[in-house]
Amino acid sequence: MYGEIEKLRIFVKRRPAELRKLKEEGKKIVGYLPGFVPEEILNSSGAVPIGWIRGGDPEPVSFSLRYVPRWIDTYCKAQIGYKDTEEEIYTLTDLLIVPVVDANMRGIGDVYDLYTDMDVFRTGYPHIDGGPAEKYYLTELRALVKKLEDFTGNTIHEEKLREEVNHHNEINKLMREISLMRRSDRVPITGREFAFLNHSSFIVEKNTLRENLESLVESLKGGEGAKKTEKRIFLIGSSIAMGDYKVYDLLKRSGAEVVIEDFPFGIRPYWEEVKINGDLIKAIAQKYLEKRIPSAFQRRSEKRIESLISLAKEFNVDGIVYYIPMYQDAYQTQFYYFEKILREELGMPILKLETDYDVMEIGPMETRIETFVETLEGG
Amino acid sequence: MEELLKLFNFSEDEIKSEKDRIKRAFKKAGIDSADIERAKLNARKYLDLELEGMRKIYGIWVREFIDLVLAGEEGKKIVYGIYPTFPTATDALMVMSEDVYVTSPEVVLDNVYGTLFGKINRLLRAAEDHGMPPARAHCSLLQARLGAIELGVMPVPDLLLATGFFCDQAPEIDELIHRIYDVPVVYTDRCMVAGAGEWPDINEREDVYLSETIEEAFEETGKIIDHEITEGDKDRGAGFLVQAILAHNGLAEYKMDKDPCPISMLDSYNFAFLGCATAMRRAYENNEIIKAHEMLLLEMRERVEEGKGVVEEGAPRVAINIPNWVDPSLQYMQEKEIGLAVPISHYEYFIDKEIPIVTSMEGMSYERYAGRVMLAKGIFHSIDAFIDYTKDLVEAGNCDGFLWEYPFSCRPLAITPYMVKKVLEEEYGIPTLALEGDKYDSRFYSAEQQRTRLETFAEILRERKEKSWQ
Repeated sequence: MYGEIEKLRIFVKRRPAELRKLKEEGKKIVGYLPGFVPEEILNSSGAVPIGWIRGGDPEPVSFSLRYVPRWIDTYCKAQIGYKDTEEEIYTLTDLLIVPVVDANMRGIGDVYDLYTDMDVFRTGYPHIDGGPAEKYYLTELRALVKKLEDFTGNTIHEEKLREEVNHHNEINKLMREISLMRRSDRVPITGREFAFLNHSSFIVEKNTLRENLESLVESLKGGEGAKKTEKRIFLIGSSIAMGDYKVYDLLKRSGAEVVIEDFPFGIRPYWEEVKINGDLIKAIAQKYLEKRIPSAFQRRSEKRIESLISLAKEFNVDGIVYYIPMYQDAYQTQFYYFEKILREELGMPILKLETDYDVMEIGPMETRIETFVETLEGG
Repeated sequence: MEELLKLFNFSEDEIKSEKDRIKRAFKKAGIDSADIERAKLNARKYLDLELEGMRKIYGIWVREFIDLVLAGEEGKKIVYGIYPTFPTATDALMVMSEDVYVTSPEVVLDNVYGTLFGKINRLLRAAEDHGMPPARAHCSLLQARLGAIELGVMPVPDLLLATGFFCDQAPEIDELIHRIYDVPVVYTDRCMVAGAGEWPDINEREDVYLSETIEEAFEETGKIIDHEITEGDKDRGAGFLVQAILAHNGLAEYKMDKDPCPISMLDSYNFAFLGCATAMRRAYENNEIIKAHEMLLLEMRERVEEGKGVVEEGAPRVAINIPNWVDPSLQYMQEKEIGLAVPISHYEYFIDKEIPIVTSMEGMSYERYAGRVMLAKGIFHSIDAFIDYTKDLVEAGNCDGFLWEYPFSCRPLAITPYMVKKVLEEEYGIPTLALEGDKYDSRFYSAEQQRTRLETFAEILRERKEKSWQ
């Protein structure tokens, strides 16, 4: 493992203690469900943003059943259940920003609103494209700015926002650079490591993160090593949480490696930058709404499917694993036609896996993954 | 078949003139003589056919079902709204032209194909094989929509009008149908961002966005079906909806505090959904909805004067969200077997806070009004509003408790039960039973499974009631 990744592990572990200290010093902690909430705006407010990105453990899912029935997206249930754990990135939060991409997400906000003293701000993310959606998202971001200003007592100045935009553009550029290295058949970083990099980016202090990413890029450039023989996998889903690495591990054990992934929750939207000219909020809105690969939360699926097919070709994948939480209806529904289209366009197999973060899943999942990878080898 | 139709006030003349048409519809829907016998049994056991008004209402539903099944072969341009829909929007499309057939078909299917004929399961199984697999908590109302197209029970439409102001699954399924059948879809959209303390005000960000998407959707709809939706159509559509809302509200207001309650919730609900949940030409032509309302009101007044009700006077009273649609035995059990009076439900009644918004378009565009009618409804606003609205409903209906039989596969509602129970009980002292169920699928939650919990809840309410009298 690269030293930078090990360092980031340590920084992630230390972060709750840092947050406690910052809170004692009077700083406000803003938790957010990362992926749809512009970090540039959060960081400009003077608050300390912390991504709610943990998952993979069965206990929080069990705890969540005190508040909601089981028929909710598992990742969202976990975010609810962490309320009753000692995970301080959750319990230290003063203000929670919830992107309402669907009812599952909204439920997180509703539970914290009712059962805690936490301030909860719901922000909309349109499900369609077009003029009204763009206008609406801009309204939502301006409402977010106002909420943060009211909450922190700080004005979000243009200069500070510009600084944060530059900073995050750089972070995303580094992440992009690392990701693109995986197009090579000498993949220098594992899928699990790349996922962890993204997770740490929502938790670790941004300057520290950037330094480590810069150093890691240099290390990776020299560290491609031998040509890899593992089958190349495109991992797709709605959420990949920090701690939910079993699918990476099982694929690895079976002789496959994740070389590219698409998850709106868990992986940074690093493909595009915020263009710094004119209205910054508008530029941020464009990056987060119009320019990214649409998720399955978006109603029209054409652009999403085209983008994913394009990525699969660019990264020369051998197969696709579609990994989703139980009761994630948007991704579940889209899979039906997505699978058919992918098979037609790419002629490659696709394996669908569902998780409820239950340890009992691992055995059957391993068998299915082994069989799937053998199919790729046979093909 | 004739005997069944006569139960629903089909006249001899109508049966004679429509016989071939009805036979074609039944054949297309796979309804055979065994199904007709079952429908007669279900109707006689579960529906209050003593009420002439209800026979009229069920007749409207059956006629609408026949129109739905035959719309394609009768050369209509077909637009499917989706439940929950904007009735203002679909009503404007409905009045636009006789050549356009518009409805939210799953509502019609559940009420007729499900409740009466007991055949909804075959639609659900078809949907499970085509994109909505079992054990994934897919909405069974929407499974009926997909399954009915798949099996040819209803025609493939020319356009889907997908509303996403409350339910995510509805537009997701329409995108699926678009992909399978190449049907154009127009989308409206909204994000439920209203927070604690905002109710009864409508969140302006939601309001503006929703109305702008409705405006775009209307424009696109007109182009796709090649019919311009005029301001006159919109006015008439709004007029129909207000007429329906006032009729339903009037009926709900009359019966909700009566003891004994003069009408069962299943029947009352079938009236409430007429023309409100979906566009239904049959409800509006010849003022049928008004006639049904007047007839029912008269009949209920008679019952009240006679002291006649669905359950005995003094029975414990509960407000509910919505009754079970496709399995009438569940509602029957609640009222007739366990003896719970169910005088009021969420969907029947617009409380005082909502009425001014719902009945007045003054100063706003039609599209804005269309959205606000739905945003003003407590249950669609936010969880805060759901709770507050429920509290008001319980008070208005003189209820002893709230029965929250939540549909497990409806995400926006399935999030709520424990939170609703907590607040209603701890802050307002309203006994609440959160009971998992499925309104639109009879396979997984039966009357017998629910009986024990309901009986216990009814006993608790009875004891509390008796103690309060002492």
